[in-house]
Amino acid sequence: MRRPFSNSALSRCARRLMAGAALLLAAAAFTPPPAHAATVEEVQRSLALIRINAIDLLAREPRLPLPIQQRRDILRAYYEEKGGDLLWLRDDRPEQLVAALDGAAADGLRPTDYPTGQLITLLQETDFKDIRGLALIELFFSAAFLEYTADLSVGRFLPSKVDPNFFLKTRTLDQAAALQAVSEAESLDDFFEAWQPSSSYYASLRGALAQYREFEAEGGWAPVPLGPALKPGMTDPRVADIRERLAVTDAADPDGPDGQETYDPELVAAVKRFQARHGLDVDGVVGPAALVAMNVPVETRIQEIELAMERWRWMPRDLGQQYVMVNIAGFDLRRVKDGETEQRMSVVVGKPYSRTPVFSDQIRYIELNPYWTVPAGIAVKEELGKLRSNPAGLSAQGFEAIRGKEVLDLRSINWANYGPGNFPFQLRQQPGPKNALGRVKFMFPNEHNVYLHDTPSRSLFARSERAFSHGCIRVSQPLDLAEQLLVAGGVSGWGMDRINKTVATEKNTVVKLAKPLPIHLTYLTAWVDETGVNFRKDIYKQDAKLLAALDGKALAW
Amino acid sequence: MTRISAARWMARATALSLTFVAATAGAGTLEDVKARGKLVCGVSEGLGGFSEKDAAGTWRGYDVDFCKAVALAILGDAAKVDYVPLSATDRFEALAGGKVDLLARNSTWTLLRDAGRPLEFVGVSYFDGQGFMVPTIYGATSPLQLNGATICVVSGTTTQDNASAYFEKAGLKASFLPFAERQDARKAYADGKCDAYTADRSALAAERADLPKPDSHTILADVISKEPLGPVVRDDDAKWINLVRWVLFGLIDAEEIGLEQANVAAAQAAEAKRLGALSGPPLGLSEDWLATVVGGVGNIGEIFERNLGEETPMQLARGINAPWTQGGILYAPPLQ
Repeated sequence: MRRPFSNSALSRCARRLMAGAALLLAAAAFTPPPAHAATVEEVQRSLALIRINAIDLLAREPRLPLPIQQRRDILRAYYEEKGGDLLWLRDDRPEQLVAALDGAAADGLRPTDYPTGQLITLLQETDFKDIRGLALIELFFSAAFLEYTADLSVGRFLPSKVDPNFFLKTRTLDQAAALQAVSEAESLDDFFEAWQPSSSYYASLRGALAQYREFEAEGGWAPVPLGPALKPGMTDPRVADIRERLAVTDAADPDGPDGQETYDPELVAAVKRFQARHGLDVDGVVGPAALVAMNVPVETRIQEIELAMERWRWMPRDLGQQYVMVNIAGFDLRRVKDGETEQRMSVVVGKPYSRTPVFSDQIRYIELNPYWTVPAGIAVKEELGKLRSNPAGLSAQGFEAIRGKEVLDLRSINWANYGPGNFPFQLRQQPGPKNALGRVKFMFPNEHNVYLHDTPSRSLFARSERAFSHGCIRVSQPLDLAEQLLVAGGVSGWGMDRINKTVATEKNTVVKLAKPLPIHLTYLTAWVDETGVNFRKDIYKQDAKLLAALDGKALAW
Repeated sequence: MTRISAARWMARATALSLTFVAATAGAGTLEDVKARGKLVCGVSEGLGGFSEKDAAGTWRGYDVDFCKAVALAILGDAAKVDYVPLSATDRFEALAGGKVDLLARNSTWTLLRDAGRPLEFVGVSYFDGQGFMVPTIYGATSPLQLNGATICVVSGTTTQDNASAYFEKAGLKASFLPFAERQDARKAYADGKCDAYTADRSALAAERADLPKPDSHTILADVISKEPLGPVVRDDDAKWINLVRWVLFGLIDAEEIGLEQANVAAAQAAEAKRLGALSGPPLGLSEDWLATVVGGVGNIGEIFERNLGEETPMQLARGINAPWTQGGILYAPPLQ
């Protein structure tokens, strides 16, 4: 649909003359040439006229094309205040912008989303003496530039429009600042590098995207046939297939020793690398889970990387000098300082029907020996039966009832009198080893009532998929995390000893952080770490929603 | 003795006679078509890709091919169709009044048209929906980017209301420039009086083909309303309803199982014969009906590509009109 951009045409943008002359000459190449060669003075006069016309269009033209109209005030302010060169009708700027838009795929964006071909056509078809036409082209280029910069920098969608589980603050592009910055940038490449998401997570995904595109160009990989689980040392005709598959992504030797069908230690090591990158049990056994993950086609992996990059555009530009980041899809928490991951641990997150929400906030205090107040919904739905049949059992686990300001023994209440719609109590569990929140909780008070906490059910951390909670996040090494967060939060005098002693008292103790610590709850099914490019299952089906939105299918059929 | 007033007698008699007329007609659409040796098919007065006369005066289009498929099934000849062009306002009355045997005229299946009239939609042949066309230079990929736009629209349908509700819900502003005639709306859009043109996406594709520079205009992927189009018959002839419905399903199933115009007499002859023999008798058709239909007009995918596809002026991507096995939602019960 779009006209292909002929590079040779624009590269004729003469480098002979000083800044400004070039574009007009390029345009001249597609219209009858002027009777005499344009002098430097003539070119400069034309450029000044183009500027005056651009300002006049923005100030007076009642109906401008929509992309310009929508940015009229910002463009007008920029062109009126800023003298000097035009933004686009100079040097090889049009070429650079066209190259950037054509290369949008490197950032996981779609080149077809931008009117590259049309911009070129417009440039080629406009007579270089048509000053008003050239002014309009300058403005069209500015509009396309702002559109692309916004897509690159803050994303194509409002997170909450794509998925109601995303509560990230909407980010918008500061268009005036972008125009100012691009006017001062040495090259457009410099500008875009500065305005793409700044985090190293984004940069590493960008690298992964290029790598997986190369895999795709080389034909991706063939599926490995399913079959019985393959254990180290076994012989199987599928060994050759697995070798070839993992030669692409996990440095397996594609030939193996003498082309044997034995599952040898070298291949076992490659399988373990693959398992680690996909959040599978790292046991070297090629079972159905590993095979299904191996057989996900490269196109899907590329898509997952692109979706993760889009989500990074939604993230706050500054994550904080120190912060905690939870990746819900990765069942993983990391504490980062100065860009280095200092602590990493497993977490348990919400079940698909009680999804842990995505948002950023600040950890403000830590509570040792917390009470657990049973949420009203859970109290009636899950505990009423037990209250009626065995209140003593619940009482032995430390539960008590609160009515107004009264604390009541569960055994003193006739629970048959209460039920849904008539339950004037709050159920609360006292601190102690049986407490559902364990020994500590980490609070970043928010409208979703989500926080991090310890848990007495440790066994779940051994599972490779960990979506079991009602929405809160259970952490696997809570006391270590508490110790480090207190340091990071500027609270002194809270070493491990004191934490342990305080826990032993079983007395509820709140410790406020002197400096609140940023926490980012994210949902990323692809990321890069020291093990390579990681992929995880789309447990909440949020990738599917974003993908549908990108294809214009936001409306449910 | 019960006394019955003259008025009630009259009412009852009228009802009886109506029932009697309908029953006669109902028993016989298939027989009528056979006796006549022609199918009378209601089509549009000219909609690109769906039903329009070409330069030589021959009817062509997606809906026209459906008329041909029914004629092939019954009479074995795609040429044995009389096309009756019908306006949007006249079409249902014409069908209800027996002026046509079948209406294949880009008609949206809605409750009021189905339950509110003595008519029956036999299925969905094309999933249409309202969309937007914008100049490609805008670089827009979604109508959500059209804040502040002036939008050309043809008045008199629900199109403007749909769009207006869509923008209101999204918290965006848009103003509309309504026109009574399509040509006027198209001209206003082509002259740059509007930033966008909204209509059903199939209609937009036809409009785009008529613009001076079709390639400079983009139809956005977003769809803001459901417009399932399908063939319509009268609801009093169960045999005829079944026949028309299963010709449609047959075209859809043919694509899914790989029956094509080119292979139905060769590589796939046995399968086409088996399915035709199974389904022909209960429909009152011959045992080779399926092979005849697919051999004559192709399966639904071939009909799409011929009339609406990327190689036609309509340049429509298959999108949701692909079979359910290929990422679309086209789905028919099995020919079993």
